[in-house]
Amino acid sequence: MVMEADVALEVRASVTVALPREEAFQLFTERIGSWWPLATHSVFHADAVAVTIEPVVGGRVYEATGDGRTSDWGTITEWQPGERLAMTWHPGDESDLATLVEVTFSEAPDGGTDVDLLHTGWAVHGAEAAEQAADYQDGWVPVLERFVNAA
Amino acid sequence: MDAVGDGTRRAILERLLEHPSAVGELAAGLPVSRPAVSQHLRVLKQARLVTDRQVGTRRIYTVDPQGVREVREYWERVWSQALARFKAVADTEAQLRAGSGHEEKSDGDGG
Repeated sequence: MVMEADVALEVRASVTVALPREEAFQLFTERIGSWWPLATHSVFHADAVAVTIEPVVGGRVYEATGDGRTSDWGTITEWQPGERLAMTWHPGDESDLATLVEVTFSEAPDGGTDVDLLHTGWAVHGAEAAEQAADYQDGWVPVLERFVNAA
Repeated sequence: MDAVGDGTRRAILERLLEHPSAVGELAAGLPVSRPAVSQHLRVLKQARLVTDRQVGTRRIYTVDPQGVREVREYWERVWSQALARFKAVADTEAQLRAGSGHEEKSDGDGG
């Protein structure tokens, strides 16, 4: 059971931004392309030109290239505009994995917004994701290569 | 493509969490062949979730907390970099709004 605790993969990340909650949520989702580090954190790497979060439960989270290729990163599982979203998370892999990313937006004392992100569940329930992550040492290029080779 | 593989790998990990095992022991408790288990173990080993050591004539597999930790640290880096970018853009926008006051102020907040 001690082992189990050791491999209970759980990542938390938080940031406080100056935008009010609704706008922070909007920037995070609708305009994710304006801040996501696509060049280094994407399946298509330098070819990736856009990333999209479809604003509805069941919506896709995906990146796209200029010539129309897309790669799914996940699927929206919770959608509460201005407050919270959750999505499955499996960049570079078409399969359903049990990794989950939850992002919560709450009002900060100064009128800004606290953004809290929780990423869980890829150890025992998402071996494939960990497998990819291990390949990601130099970005997601190896995933792209595997992806292309598999096609 | 590999749904069965996923399920099997998960089952292998769960068994290894309970106790370190050899390939034969794992295969005995799973509805897949021994070569298939070996194949999954190779994938898990490549992913650094599993490590092995030779004990006499047997190769014993265990979950590798170090590898798991590295995967976790990888995602910690990704999210911290991504959120830093998010903050930079958000704070710039907040500053612009505060600075340009009425000019940029929009009445409709519909979209």
